[in-house]
Amino acid sequence: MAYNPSDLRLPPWLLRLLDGLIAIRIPIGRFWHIGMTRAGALMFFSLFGLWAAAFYSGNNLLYLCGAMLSAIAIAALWQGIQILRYCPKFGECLPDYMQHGEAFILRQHIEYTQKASALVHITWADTDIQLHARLSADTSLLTGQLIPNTRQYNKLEKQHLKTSAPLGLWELTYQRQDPALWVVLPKPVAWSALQYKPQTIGQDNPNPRWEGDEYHDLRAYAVGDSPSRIHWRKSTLEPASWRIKHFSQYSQQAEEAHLCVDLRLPKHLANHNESLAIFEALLGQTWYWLQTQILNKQTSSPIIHLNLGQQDFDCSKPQTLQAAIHAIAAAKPEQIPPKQLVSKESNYTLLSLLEAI
Amino acid sequence: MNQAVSSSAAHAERMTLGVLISGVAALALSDFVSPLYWSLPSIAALMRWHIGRRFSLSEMQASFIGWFGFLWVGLELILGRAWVVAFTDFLLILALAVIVEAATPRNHLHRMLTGLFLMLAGAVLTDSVLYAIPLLALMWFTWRSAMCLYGLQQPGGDLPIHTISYDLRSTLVMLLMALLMFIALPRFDVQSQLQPTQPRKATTGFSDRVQLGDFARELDATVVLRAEPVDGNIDRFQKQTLGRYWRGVTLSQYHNHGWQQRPHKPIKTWANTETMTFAKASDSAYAIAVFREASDHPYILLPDGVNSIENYAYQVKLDDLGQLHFGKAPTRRLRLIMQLDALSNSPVFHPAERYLFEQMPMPSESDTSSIPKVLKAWVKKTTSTSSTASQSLNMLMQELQSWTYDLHAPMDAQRPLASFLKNKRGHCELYATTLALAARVLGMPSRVINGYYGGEWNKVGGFLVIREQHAHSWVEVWQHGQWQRMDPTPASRWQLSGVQFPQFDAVWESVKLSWYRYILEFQDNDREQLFQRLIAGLKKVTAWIFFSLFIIFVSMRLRKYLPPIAWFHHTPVIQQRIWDRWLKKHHITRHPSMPLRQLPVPDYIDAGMWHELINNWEKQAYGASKAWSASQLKRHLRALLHTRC
Repeated sequence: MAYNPSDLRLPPWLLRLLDGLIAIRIPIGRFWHIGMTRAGALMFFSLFGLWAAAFYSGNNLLYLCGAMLSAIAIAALWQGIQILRYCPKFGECLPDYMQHGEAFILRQHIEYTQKASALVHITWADTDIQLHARLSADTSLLTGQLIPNTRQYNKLEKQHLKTSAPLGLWELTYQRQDPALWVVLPKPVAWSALQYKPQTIGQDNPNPRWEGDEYHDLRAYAVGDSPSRIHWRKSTLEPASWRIKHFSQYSQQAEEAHLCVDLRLPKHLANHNESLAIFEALLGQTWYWLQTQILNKQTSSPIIHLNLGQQDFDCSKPQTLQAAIHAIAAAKPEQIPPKQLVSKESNYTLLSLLEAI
Repeated sequence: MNQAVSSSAAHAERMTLGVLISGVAALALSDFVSPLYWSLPSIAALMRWHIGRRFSLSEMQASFIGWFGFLWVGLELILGRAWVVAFTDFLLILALAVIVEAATPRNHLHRMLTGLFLMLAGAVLTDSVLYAIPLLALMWFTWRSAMCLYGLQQPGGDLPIHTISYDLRSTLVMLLMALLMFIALPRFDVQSQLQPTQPRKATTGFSDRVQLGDFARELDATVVLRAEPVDGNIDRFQKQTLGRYWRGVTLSQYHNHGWQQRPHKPIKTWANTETMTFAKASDSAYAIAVFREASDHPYILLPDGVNSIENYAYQVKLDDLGQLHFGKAPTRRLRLIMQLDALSNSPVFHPAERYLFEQMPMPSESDTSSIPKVLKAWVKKTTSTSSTASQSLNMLMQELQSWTYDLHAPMDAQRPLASFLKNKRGHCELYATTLALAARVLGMPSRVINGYYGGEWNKVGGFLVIREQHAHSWVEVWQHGQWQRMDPTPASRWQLSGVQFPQFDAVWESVKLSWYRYILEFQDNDREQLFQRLIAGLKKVTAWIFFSLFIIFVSMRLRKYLPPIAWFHHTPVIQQRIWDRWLKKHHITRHPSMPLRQLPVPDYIDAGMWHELINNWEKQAYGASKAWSASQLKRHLRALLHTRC
């Protein structure tokens, strides 16, 4: 916005007073709040002075001036309300899922039927999602930079729209229902299912299998990977740069990809933050495994099965795959072991934080 | 992108310039402002508009102009210029500085604030009807400029502003809101110093000293007062008010070819808000509203038969000359509500009748020392056959009335009465002077009254206008223990008119009176009257409103029972139009015979929802389900837009 009373070189104490005033939000309806911008505060006090002079003097021309300026202020308020009321729904514009720490730049044209131009700030309650909609009769654009910092699965309902359009005088806030799913998956943690089947994390594979000569992919090194599978020519001495060969032979031979994730936390971890970190790492591995399976679906096993704690998912089907993704995002530590562990089945890869299984 | 930014900024620049120029125009309407001072910012604004940002000074240089204005005004005050004039000069120099200031965001704010302040100053320093034009312009420019400034430098670039057609609708709504607020808000009138000030004007014959011959030089079409009925009975008003004398100044001492007032003293004083009562109102009395123009004299013009006057603003005094006047001349237009008796031939003035004792003749009103001999000789000659003084005076008046009225008759400045008696031609001042002095020759105290007579009927607005050209002089003679009016001027005097375009003038005067009546002088009681009229109007149409509601209700009830076929031929035609408009808006071309289901799914619309809508619409269109109204279809189409991204 190009006009601001601070441009008038007002004294700092007056600007602080203005800032205090513009922080006030007054409810004007069930879902509506109103506040002032700095320019609005200036307008408000101008109107106040003008009406005081009009009432004091009984000068009808001052009444007329006051009425016209008040009409401008009210019309601006009314138009702002109309803009927010007829804002298109933005919930479906959010991505289906995101990964923790991954930035997502949203830039999407939207349909807008009103003729008033406006910049609308969009947030959902209890989230850090912030979007901006540039609305105009010609083109309307929804933009935003989404960087989720925690894994979560939220059913978003309450949305807050905020604008000071059309004149930049009043800051209107409108709370409405705009349902959306906010699915943030953990940061994927690379690992090799070959080495840990059915071993736990952190232990070397005592029975390495012949995986063939040709690898079809490289992935990041994870603790526990065999040094023999490191592609040394594409790596440096830094473990962060190590690349692990992913051989195709094993996956071609496999008929079914089956991962069983034990969501129980080890009891010896007293530190809550440490528990959370390794739990997130476990889910990161799960998400990595699922991503890998989806990517390799054409070349590897057509059947992808995931046991996440007490939940079973046949990820070969799109609906259940989506449910599995949502389950990873929503996963919480459990107290009881997965059914597969109880039934002593053996044809799966097990991921568990417990050492003595 | 840069071009777009500069285009928006240039638009904002012009809009804020419009705000400032509206303020300058509002203040320029005041007579306190010299044309030099308002023409400078106007020319600068035109050049800035035409040349653009290149026509600018730096902020520092512009501030020097502002400081120069400040010092200049100080100098003006030292040199004795009125503070209000110096203040307007300063405002206009400041406006000049702001116009030529470099284009910055701060400059936009300076312009808007200065424009607003100039407009408010104009509200106090003028009451012209033309003030409405800059006021409307200011509203428009303020709205558009604030919108431009809001859109500038937003994240992602400048926002485009609304179309003018869209804003015109908003403007109409704003005007309606402003009107409602103007009517509804209460008036307090605690301090009248900030009331709109009318340019001060001199009026003919309202000096305390008049030289014979002055009268003819001052007559023009300038309006002195307007009067209208309070109760809306225009016919009675026209019949009863048009032929009255409006009494102003009383001149009693004749000396050296001129008249002047004798020393006088107040006999009655009324405080503000106190009603002045001169006589008991009769059954035929009626009220008129007199809009008195501001003048450099303090006299209230009193029509014949005035019983009372409602006073709103100032203290008023009645003196022993029968003159009613304010303490000092009001600088603004006033509305006075007067109660008048029905028009009669009574020559006695009501206030004079009531306060008779205090208005007894003084020696100066019988003084014959300055009467020319030629006049005495003419009196003696003309009244040789009469027996009484009253009869003689009537004879003299009849003689004078038989002469010729001539506003531009040649007159000897050294011997005006002698030349008048010789030529038997002249204007009312000469007739009145001759009769008044003749009465004194006959031994009757007399005096000359300057005021107005008759007036002009405005057919367009239905009100009375009294102009300078209706100024008149007549005589009051002490007869039968009363001051009695005598008018020796021939009737041909009232056939003159100085208005060049009567039709246009009638319309323009109506506009001005409406402005005074409904804007400048709007008071709480006017609101009450307005509501009463509205209620009365509503009462008249109440039966029609209930009947219409009943018909609508019955129609809606019957509609449920009508077979769908009755609506089938009508509804789809309207809905087809809605569909066509909607499709065109979304860039889909459809042949009239093409079914909707064969159309491609519009971009960003969910295919499932699209097909569901078409199925539902076709069902209702062919009678398989309840028919939709046009608004229902529009709602479905809007919902369709809301379900996609």
